[in-house]
Amino acid sequence: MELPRIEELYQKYRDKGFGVVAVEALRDTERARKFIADKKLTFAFLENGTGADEVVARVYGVGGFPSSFLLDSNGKIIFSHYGFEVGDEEKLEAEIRKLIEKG
Amino acid sequence: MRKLLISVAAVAVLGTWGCTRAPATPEQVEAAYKVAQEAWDAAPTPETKITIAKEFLAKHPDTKYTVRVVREAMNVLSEELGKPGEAETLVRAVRAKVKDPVTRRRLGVAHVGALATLKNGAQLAQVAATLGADPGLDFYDQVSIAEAAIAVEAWDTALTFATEAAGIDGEKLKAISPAGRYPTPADLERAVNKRKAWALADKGWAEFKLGRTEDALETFEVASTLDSRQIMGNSETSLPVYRGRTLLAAGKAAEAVEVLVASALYGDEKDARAALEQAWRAQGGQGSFDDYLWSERQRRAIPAPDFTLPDYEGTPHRFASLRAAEVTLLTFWFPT
Repeated sequence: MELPRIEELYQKYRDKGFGVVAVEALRDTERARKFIADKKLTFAFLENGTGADEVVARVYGVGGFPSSFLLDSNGKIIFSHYGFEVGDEEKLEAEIRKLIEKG
Repeated sequence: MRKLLISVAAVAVLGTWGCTRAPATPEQVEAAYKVAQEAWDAAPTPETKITIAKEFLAKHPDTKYTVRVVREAMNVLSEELGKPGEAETLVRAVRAKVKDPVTRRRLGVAHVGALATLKNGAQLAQVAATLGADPGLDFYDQVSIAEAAIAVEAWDTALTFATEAAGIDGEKLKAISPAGRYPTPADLERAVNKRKAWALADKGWAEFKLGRTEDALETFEVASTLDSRQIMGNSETSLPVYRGRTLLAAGKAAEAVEVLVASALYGDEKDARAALEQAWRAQGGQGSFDDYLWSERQRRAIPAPDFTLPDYEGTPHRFASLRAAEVTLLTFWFPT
């Protein structure tokens, strides 16, 4: 899922209780900062740690990017998504709507 | 995996270089490429881009830009103009003129991809056979040929290249990865194992399709010990789908459900859901499959592990404190 498309979803659903946290996995700090500024991304950004503070592979088991998880209002993981292809945004949006409605 | 990022490409040539007998110097090729690239960027239509690319390739068929220009032009032909047949013709014609072994190899891999798009299994198997003995093929070449062969059901070719790809090891992976991509031996091992599992999944699927179900199930068994799973137990490879379908065909529906459920619930592969629905019905599932999925998801869902990481000002944040009221998307990315 490309972050600029996620930004669109964020703008559309943030008032309904939808939030985004993006963790940059490889600590490519300068390029990440530039990307965030260039694409005018407004949700929360964190940077992965190293060693014992490494989260992406060690805690979430993620080795391929982009990988995304949807959490419900209880903080439980209810959906995960790997890669980006045409049509992914629609699938993700459908899941978000379902969670907002059933939430 | 990750889509090929398309940079710019292409051509047009200054003066009369194309008419002289002496081969162009690297500087001349460089200059011609730059001119072509600018013309490509300013091209008013996709057809113009193709003309620019073909002119460049006609004058400079065998340079370090050949693969890039051919791939860009193939992409425009297939995606923008809807002419995958012409993409195949282009790559075949250029490859015939190329002598540089690396360029020949890379064009061969692109040619296999074009033949998969055209569903031409017979020719794909032939072109793949010309590449088969090339020791320069790397893991990604081998796996992309295997998967192209799977797409056209050329199972012998798929088996050959998936088997080669499964021979990936730490040294080979480091040689084709950016420096520093795997900072620790554990990172490297995890990455190697994941790629092995990926190739073995393709291999097992080819074995199954060739009627060797027992071999396939053994291959999948090995693959599953190597595959790294995401936190919800879903794989980033096709292994669960291939393994689940093979188990189902072998009459092991309950095992198939177990293998498929994590990917179908927490991944979003259509194939995994379709295979799970078959397996679920085969072992007696009744009623609405969507209701089953939703309730299984709720039942198996686990809390997202909390963590603390810094933002770009260096301020640490607990993930739990950033969660939204109804739905939170946690995404792991890197800048491309």
